[in-house]
Amino acid sequence: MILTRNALLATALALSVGALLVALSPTAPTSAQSPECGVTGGTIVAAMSTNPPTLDPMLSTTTASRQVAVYIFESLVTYDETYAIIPQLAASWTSGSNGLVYTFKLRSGVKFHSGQTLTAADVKASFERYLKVAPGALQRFTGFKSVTAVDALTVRFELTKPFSFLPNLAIPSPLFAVLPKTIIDKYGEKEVRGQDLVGTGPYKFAEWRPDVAIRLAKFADYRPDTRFAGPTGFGGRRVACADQIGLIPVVEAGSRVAGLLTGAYDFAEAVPITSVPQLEANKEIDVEIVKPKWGIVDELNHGQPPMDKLAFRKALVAALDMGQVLSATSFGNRPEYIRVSPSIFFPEQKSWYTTAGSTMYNKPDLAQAKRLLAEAGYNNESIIYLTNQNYDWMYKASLAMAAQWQRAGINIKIELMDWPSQIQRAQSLKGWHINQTGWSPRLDPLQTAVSLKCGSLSAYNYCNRDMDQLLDQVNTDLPLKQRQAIWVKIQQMVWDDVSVIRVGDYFEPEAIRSSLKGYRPFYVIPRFWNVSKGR
Amino acid sequence: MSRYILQRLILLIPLWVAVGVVSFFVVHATPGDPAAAFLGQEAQFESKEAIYRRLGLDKPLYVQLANWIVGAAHGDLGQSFFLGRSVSDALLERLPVTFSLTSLALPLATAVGIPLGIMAAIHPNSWTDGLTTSVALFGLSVPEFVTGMLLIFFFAVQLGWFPVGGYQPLTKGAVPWLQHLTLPALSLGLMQAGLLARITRASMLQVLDSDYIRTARAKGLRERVVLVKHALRNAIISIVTVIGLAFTILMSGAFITETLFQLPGVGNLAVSAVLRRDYPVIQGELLLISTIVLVVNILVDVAYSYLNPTITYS
Repeated sequence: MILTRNALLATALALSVGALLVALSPTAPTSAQSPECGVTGGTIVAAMSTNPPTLDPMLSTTTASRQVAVYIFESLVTYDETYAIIPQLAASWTSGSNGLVYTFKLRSGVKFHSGQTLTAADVKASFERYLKVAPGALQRFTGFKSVTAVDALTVRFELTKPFSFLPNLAIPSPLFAVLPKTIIDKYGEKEVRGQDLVGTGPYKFAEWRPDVAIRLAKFADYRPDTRFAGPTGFGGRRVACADQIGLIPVVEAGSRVAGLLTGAYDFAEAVPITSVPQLEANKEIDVEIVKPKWGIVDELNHGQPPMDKLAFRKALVAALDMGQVLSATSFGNRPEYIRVSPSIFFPEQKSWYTTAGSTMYNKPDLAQAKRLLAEAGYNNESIIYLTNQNYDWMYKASLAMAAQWQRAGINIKIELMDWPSQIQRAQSLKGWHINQTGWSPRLDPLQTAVSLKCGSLSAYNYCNRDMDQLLDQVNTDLPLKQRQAIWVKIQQMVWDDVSVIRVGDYFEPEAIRSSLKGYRPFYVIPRFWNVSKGR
Repeated sequence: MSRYILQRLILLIPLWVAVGVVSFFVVHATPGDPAAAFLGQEAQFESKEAIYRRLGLDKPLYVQLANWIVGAAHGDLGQSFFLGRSVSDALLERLPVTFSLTSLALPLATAVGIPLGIMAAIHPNSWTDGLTTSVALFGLSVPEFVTGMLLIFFFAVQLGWFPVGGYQPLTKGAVPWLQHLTLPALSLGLMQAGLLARITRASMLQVLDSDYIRTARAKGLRERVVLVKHALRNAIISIVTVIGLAFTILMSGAFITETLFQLPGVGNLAVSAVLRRDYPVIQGELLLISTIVLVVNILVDVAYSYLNPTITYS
């Protein structure tokens, strides 16, 4: 028996040694030339940091789901590179009756991946489903009355009160995706899966093996939007240059870096800052800084004493040196990845960026913090601070802030858990005071309502009727200038009330192989349309 | 013997019930929420409730448990919350990957560990013993993610001999299959080899000190025969126990190695399922692992009586 086993072992070893000698044979992509792409064809392989929970574009607000949806699906309107609203499936639109009616003309001849032609009936069915299933849609579209397919290419939305209808339609979180009515009828509120993930985007769904790979294939009948000179934001003149896109979930950051270095991946999302020098030293790799990316935010449980006292919340701000906190997130020596900024919107988002209300921001003053604590009647009660290590920068920021608060005399107790546990614990609204989180860039002020409005789960017991009024006002169809003025008041109130603490900006590095031509980072979604794999 | 095996197999039934019930409560008592994982952190009450209804989590806990038990009794472990397939399908899809990894890692561990242990035992306290013990301890004490990352760095990034991760099934050819599994198998195999070397050394030392070994040598048997036929044959019982243990550990999913090398095996599935709180999959995994443990234990017991005819089961 021993001899037999030895023989087997010898065979296995021989096979292993044989494998050692076999080098990887790279397969050359079939490629051609195109004026918009340079080289076309090939497969772009991207190593992503997370797994999407679903590919149904309407069901989840997670970044991972959004990252896939924009390839397959399109919306009536979307955002361009400057975060302004542009048409996508809409040819044009008019608003009338004092902002109570919006009529959209659709682009003609737009094809779904299934071969059907886009009609107003598809838009109507999709919107009705969106209202039913998309998280937060009912709250955002409270003034919605009805949607009617007027003719094959005209769709009319009627509202009960004027509100900022276009930004609500354009926000991709979750995406208002237009699917064929037949698919909507088939699934209703259930999760759309597999080959029924049919949209009008430049790439169509090919395969999803959860935790292994998402494969998207070029949609041959896609007609680029010739109204634009090139791609912009999530829309514009999008062209599928590569034949396929593979989105591979590689949760280990070290494995993403290793795969990029060997050429197994063309792109690696969220690489560790500590790997940047190694990647920068490699001539075949470019490191990009994604701006904007994360806003570091401390959410506060206003229902949990002493957080209900304004003086206590102000003491938290007075104790913080934001520069030091941000420095901790980037290992202290990488200033290009952090930014001290009190604005809820990022400086790149010119329409909404403001420093309003930030008089106390980043002015650490221990004496004042202690005076405010005394004013709040703080008696060394434990302050429970929820954080996680799934997002390393959140953890590092929490440690730095906890140390600063302790120095001010606040009895901080860090509770470390994994991200899903932290979300659930925070949403239980009990037994915690500070919740460490990060906000992906908001595209319109109306998105902040979930974190600031009375009764909203993510507002964590914060309630100020004046704030509610301002939020209602900013969610109207007023001209941009007026909405901007209202937003300034909202941010002023956020700092006056210390509704949340906006700590600063953190930008994640991402890295691409230089053989990938035409890639430009934007928002939290890597865009591989109009990107070619030149070799 | 067959009666004994049958008895042990029947024991699986109460084990499944116990594991099923305990894992159900443990999983549901764990903080975290599949609805939050699905919707994102900006979830609202209404959306969460809709998800609970869709996943059947709105029902009282005892109803959910009863439904799960009835389903499991009919061979239905339920539907994954996230994977769009049944738990059984998800597990069956992942098992070949883990089995492939085990089929390389375990022979490797045995081929390296047992000779190392024997070498150390032949000359105890010599430099050979010191060296082999150091190698074994190194293999045992370096965490598998460190070994894994080092292997990736040298053999995938620097030398380019192997891919950094991923999996190709055997049906697509033995070479790509081996290419994708060699590094993870090395990472796991070396750790198990360390354990095997330590156990082999200890058992061999004990046996080599026995009277019958002295007798064998006294009657002029060649050293090779003494070692292989008399010593190893008697030391093998504890070695087989450890091999069984290693097999169980490997088949239950090498959580870290599979994640590091992006191998879609049962370990990788378990990590993802826990992170997104996919309750049915976590329960299915626990059931699978407990079954593997019990079946391997039975096989080890059978191997005992084969290796040592004085061991009988009545």
